[in-house]
Amino acid sequence: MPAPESSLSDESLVTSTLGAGGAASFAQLVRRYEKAARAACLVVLNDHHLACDAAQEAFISAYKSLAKLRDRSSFGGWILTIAHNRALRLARHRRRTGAFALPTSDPPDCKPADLELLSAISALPEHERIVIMLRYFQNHDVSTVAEILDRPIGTITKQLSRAHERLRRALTQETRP
Amino acid sequence: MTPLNASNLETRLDSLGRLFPDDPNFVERLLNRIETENIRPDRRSTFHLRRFFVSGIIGLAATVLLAVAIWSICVQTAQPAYAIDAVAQRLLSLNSLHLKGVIYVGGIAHRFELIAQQPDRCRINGRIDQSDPNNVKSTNVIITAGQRAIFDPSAKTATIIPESPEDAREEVAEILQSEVQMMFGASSNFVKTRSETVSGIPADVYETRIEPIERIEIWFNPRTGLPLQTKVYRTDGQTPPRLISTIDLIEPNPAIDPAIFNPSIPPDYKLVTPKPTPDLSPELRFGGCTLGHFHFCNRLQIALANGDVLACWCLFDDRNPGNDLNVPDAQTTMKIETLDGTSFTQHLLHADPTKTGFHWRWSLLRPATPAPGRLLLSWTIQHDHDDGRNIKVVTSYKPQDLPDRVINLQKQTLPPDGKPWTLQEIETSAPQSQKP
Repeated sequence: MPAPESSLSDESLVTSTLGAGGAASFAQLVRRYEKAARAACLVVLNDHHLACDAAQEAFISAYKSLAKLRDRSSFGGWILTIAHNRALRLARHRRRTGAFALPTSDPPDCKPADLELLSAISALPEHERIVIMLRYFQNHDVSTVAEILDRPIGTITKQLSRAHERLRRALTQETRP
Repeated sequence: MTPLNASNLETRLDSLGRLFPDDPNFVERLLNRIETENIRPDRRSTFHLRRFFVSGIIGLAATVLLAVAIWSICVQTAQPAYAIDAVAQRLLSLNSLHLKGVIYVGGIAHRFELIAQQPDRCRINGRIDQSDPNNVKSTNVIITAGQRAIFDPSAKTATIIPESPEDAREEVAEILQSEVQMMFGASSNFVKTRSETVSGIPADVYETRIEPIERIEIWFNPRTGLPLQTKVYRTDGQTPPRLISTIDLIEPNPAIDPAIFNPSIPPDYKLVTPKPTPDLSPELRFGGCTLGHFHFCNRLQIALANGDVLACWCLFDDRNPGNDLNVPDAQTTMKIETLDGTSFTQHLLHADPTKTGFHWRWSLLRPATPAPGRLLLSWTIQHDHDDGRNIKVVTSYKPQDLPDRVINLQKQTLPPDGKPWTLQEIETSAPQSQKP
């Protein structure tokens, strides 16, 4: 059975990881951002297995460098940037070595329309991107997102609304002939 | 096109989110790696250090303090040291293993990834298929008890072949042990040659050689007791040694998502019906070699006590397969030895006839000098002036599993009314001696 989701803020969990909480506290951060990190990697790699590998590497790298994170409340944006960079590195490596994609259909890789939406999410400003990912990928309601990010509910609602607007504009522009 | 309004954007976002189902093993795998590789957060903040070293005098004092601190940490928290000699045995006792690396065939690098899980599941992405020497292919294979699925990414084909549970167990054990063998070689004489870092991790580099054919380098992390990387160089004795494989990810007992063994056929792949393996070419299925009309196959080799090996093999002329029990003979010889030259004698236990006439022979192989733990056997067949060689791993099983494995494997080739030899009978009886 999966461990219960913590409602502690990212800042508290980062502090706890570097203190007495150790890897157990870090596991809660991983649960919180795992799908978002996989999604950030999938935009680059379009392969669920590879995205999962890249996300794993990203969390390992983040765990090692956690003390270097100056603003502990910005863990979400930080991990997604690391994940994106890891995926780019893996994609470059695969191009160099001529590695091929694994034959998999479980879960299915992205349809073009999904990739288009994922790319649009990746292009959002960091604070809006995190809110979207926590809301739709991690399936948190607005009040939990507010707790995690330690921001007022009103701010989260506004950021969601702005993110929707930006996505709508981006997608409409891309689909225009 | 449907206009993109607030409601269908939310619907699309919701369905996009569902593309990423919960992966309960993700966190488990990560924590396993953190623990196994002894990963710790680097508590030095570069930001604070930068500020600290800004002034010359403060910087000097800080350097001295830092040096004292590092010395005291090193002295007071010495990590347990692991010996390299025990690592191969440790890896062989694993339930599962995850490897990534590169195999070089004809100067071309083929990346591969393997996840093997005892007793009978294995997935290899990038398995080299050299059955046609003019068309070396890299395929992806999923073996489970019941079937073997082979995906050919270049031809976009999927081939599903029935696989008996016994064959699946034998093959998974063999693959797992071959990989460990590939990493560590047949020699146990490891010599530390230098120290280096691999991706920032300090490693001791060991080398082991079987002159003149093989040299293996292992980058070993003494803190975790696991190899970080291995390189195998091999030569045929005529040309300089060449790099034949590199393994750069070695993950013991990874958390495994069972879905990776689900041989779902991608929509753009064509399902092909396999041609039945020619009954007179068992070497294509189990490994071996051919010399003109002569076919040799060493189907399996199982480690017994004192270095003895139980082998199932065949050797026949396809023009007269039923005459196979008369070979080897004066024109056709067979030599069995380890890579370091220890020879084995072969003692026939029973010969099980096949529908096409040749026999699967079950033999006890006994080394000239008893020594358990030899992992590779080389069989050389010579006919007239031609010769062929096949090297295969000797599979080891846990002592408690071995008696049943030995019986069940014999049942694969015995006729319905045939009685398999028990492990005790094999180990203690005085088998009929046969010419080598």
